[in-house]
Amino acid sequence: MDDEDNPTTSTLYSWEKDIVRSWETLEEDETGKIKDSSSFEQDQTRRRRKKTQPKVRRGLIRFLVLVLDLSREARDSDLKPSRGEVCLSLSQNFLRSYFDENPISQLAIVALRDGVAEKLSSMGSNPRQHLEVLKNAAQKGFYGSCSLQNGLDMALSLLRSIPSYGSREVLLLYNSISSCDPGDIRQTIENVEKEKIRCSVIGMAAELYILKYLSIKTHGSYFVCMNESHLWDLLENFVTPSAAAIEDKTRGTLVHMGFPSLKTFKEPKICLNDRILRSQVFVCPRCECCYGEIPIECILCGLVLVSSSQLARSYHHIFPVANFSECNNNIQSRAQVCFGCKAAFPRESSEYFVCPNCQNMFCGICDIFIHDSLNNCPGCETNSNKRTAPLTQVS
Amino acid sequence: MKVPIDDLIVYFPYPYIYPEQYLYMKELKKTLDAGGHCILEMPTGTGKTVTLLSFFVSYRASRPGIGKLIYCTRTVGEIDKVLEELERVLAYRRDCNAVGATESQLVAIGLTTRRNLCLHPMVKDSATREEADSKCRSLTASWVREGAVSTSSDALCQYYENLQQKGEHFQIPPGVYSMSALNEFGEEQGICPYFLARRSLQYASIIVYNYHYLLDPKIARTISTELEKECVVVFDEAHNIDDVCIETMSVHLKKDTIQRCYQNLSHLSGLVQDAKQKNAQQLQEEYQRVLRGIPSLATSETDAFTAAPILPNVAIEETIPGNIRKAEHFLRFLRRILEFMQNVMQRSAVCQETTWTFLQSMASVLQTDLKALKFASDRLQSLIQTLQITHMLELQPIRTLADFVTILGCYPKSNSFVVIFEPYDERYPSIPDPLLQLACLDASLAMQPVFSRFRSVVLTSGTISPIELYSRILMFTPVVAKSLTMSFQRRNVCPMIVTRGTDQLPISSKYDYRHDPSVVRNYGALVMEMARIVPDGVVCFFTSYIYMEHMIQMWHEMGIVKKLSEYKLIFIETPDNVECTLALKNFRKACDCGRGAVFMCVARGKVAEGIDFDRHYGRCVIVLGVPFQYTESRVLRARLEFLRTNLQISEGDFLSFDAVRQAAQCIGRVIRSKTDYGIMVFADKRFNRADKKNKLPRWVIQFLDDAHCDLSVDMAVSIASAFLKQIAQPFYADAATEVALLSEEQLARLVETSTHKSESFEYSSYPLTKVSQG
Repeated sequence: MDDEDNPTTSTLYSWEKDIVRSWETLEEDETGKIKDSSSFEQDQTRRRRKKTQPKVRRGLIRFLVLVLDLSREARDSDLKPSRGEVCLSLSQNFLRSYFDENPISQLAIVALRDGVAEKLSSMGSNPRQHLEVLKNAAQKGFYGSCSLQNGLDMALSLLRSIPSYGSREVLLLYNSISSCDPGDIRQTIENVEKEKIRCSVIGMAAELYILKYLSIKTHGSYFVCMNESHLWDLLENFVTPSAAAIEDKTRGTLVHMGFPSLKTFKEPKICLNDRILRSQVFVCPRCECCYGEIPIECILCGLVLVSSSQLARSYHHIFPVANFSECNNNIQSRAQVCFGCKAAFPRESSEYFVCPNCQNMFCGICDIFIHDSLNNCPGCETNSNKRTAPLTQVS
Repeated sequence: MKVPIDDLIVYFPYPYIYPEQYLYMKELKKTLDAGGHCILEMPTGTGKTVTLLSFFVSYRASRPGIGKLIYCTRTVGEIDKVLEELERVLAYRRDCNAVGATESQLVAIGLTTRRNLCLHPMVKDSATREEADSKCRSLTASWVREGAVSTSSDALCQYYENLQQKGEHFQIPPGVYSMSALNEFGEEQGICPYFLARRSLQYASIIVYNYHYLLDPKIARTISTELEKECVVVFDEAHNIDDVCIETMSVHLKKDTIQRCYQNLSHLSGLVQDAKQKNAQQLQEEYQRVLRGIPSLATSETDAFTAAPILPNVAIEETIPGNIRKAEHFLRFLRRILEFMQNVMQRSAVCQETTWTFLQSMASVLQTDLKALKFASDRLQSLIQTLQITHMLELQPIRTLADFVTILGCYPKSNSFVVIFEPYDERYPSIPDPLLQLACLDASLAMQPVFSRFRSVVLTSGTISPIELYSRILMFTPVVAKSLTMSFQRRNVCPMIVTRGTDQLPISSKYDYRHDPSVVRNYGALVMEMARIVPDGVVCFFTSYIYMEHMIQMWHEMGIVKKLSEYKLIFIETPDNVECTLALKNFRKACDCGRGAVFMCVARGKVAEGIDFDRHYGRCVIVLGVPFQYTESRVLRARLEFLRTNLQISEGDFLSFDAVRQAAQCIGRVIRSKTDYGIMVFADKRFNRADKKNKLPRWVIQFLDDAHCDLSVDMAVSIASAFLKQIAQPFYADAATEVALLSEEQLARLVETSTHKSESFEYSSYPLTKVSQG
């Protein structure tokens, strides 16, 4: 192997690297203030929230295959230190958020390297195991070409046996700008389409025709990232389950779920999932198998074991907090303090947000906190007589 | 939508219009109102054709005096595209109930060769155009038809007979007839589509055909004679029109041609001898006809093949001299000329003469009156008709010879022509390959009759800059000469001039530098880096085949080809048609399946002229070196000399004009619509000079700001990758309306404000374009 095939690109001197035009990200607005246009997170969050439509069917039990392109192009240093490293580290963040937001969903990781697809971790809902894999993924280095077809075939084999209530997704982080395939890629895409797997792609460099074709065919989305923060914004889009694209016969399937009890035994029990002896285990209510952690699908009876809090966390996606309307016209008419944090409104900012249901006013920070993390409006919650009990249904 | 142009309402078949289309119509109106000629440049992919057609149809409806629209295209495929657009325009007018009485009778017809418009099973599968023509002739010539026992005989073409039976006044029903529509109609009625189309030229309102039908005097005199003066002529893709003009008036004789001429001559004299014995009456009749005056052109439409290559403004009023009136005398005359030519071809030195000196030497050798020369073509045609020869293909060499001497005889003292003899090709001096050329140097010669004959001539193309040079070369004064820019919703063209390699050494295809290893390496690095960062298709243009071969060989030795093939598959253009088509097909396939590919081709080759690399097939185009013509060519040098002495165009000016228009043509291949995007790299330090840069089309210069000039390879690569990321961001079409798309109300508002300001609606004064450029 050549010398240059070693992943040592991060040791380049700065004059050998690409030109960074840091001044070009600065923009002057109409009042003459200079802004860094790369920090448009605030805008992005707001814009994204506007898009969330309440009462849309969403696939809550997600089965996602995360496909990482760790081929030669991952060594490119336009993202520092390299595209591959950034991909891996942001994927770890993504993984955490993913399991935070979708505790009853599962995920598998596939790496594309040297023309083949390599299964790094199989379908599971244990974030620790996946994170471990991601941390070690860079050790083998980034080399060889990238094959989209092999990646899709691997994803297909991972997703084919998934029951119909689960929403099947593939998320590709694609560093290359080509795909070196052993066979007819169109046939593979057709198969993917037939299996109703939604493929979304985040490209690192440029728009590639075949990826666009793939995402259109499978009702996914295709983005190309501009920089690291943009990449994270794009990844965040995939944390919340997307609206069910295919309104078909999989409507309202009821899924058996068990709530296992956490029991402590004097003598340790062997856990079925990882074959480790534990004294404190979750016990399946149907067949009394022991598990070290949940959520998990019972190996013996096939029951999905979750805790009620996990279910609840997934569930808020169906009933998101209504968008707050943005007001900035009349400083006199607004309340003195934010209803959320009880802090006085900052003087220089004239912006505040009003919940359409309870008419309470919130500051910008609380607004983002309520929508992104809390998922309940404190104003509406205190006004208990207006509360309606949402139906317990998972689709 | 309805577009108001001053007092005229144009029915435009789309709900939105681009601002440049509106301007284009305005300029057209000015031209037609003034009854003059114009040159208009509008970027490819902004809908030139539909703008032109919708405007013309509306204009004609409101101004009854206007004649036909003659739309000249370069390829057969374009003919169908034009007619398709026309259909859309007419359908929209019908929907709007804007169709007048005369317009409902509108016939639009696309005329191509017999080969494309034939239903006869024997003829339509011919391999070449000439073969089809000659086969058709053998079935439909007047004497064949007279000689046949009955009209249903197998020796005749039934389709043509049926057409004849329909009578003189049979007209094709109103409508738009593309090639396939004509064939269908012919099949249905059992009549010949080709002659149907030919006859319908007289009453059709819109005619779409090839350049040559109007420019080449040989064809124009048989086909386009009956077009009235009030016609409007459009030359689409007219950036190479001067080359076409010159080509139609130039004749080449090769050694092989001369030898086959001898065969033709003996064949003809054999036939004359035969005829003398069997049918002396026939020859006598011809003699009388010739004696009376000019040999009549074909009496029947099927007999005519091609006329003499004489322009109508050099009409012959004299009678044919006695020495060629009789058939055998004429043949002997031709033989002597042929012998003279053969002698010329045996010289061993390159020789360049004016037509006058060539004629003088010919006269002294032949000891004959040279007046007869200019009648050679017509006399030959008359003879061929008399002898009732149908297989024209065989006689091609002798016809070429006759054309040669006819032109020679018609322009004895003109400096527009030059006779050049080369005993071998300059590039391969060891291989004897004698070539005698009668080269036309003056492009205006073929063009002048068209300008003087028709009311308005419109030259239009995506790349017809600099405009004033065209008007000088073609010697006419346009009423309107305008280059329109493109209103983009976003910056979707990224032109760059790369002058240095990463090591800061200059790159250039200049002859002294081009074999320098550093230049070769830096060019290689540029292509490789671009292939690395650009997705899907990349197209590279070299200046010539030899240069391309040399470069690729050097790259192979340097290991660049190996690295390049890691990123993309490599395809190479060859002069062979079949190979090239196959390469293109596989190139497309590689782009479709995401493997990505590089196409290496030659600027002036087939690919550069006719193949589109739209969408993902061409995300980046690299022009390696300035595509100058082969400057050692004698024809070119003679032409440069002519331009300098007669038109005061300096050599350098013309050469760089020609090179830059070729380069512009190459880069224009990748943008075929407004939603398309692409990177355009001009890789030569000479592109950075003002004389080259300023000659680029305006829609390229518009995006070529200082930050994109004089770049080194690494800078170009980082600009390109930033561009690719930027352009891949989701794009919301509604932001585009207002800037690059105008609805009816927006247009009305714009027109109103521009008239209030009492200034012409100039593109630069249009405030929103700033946004699109930013």
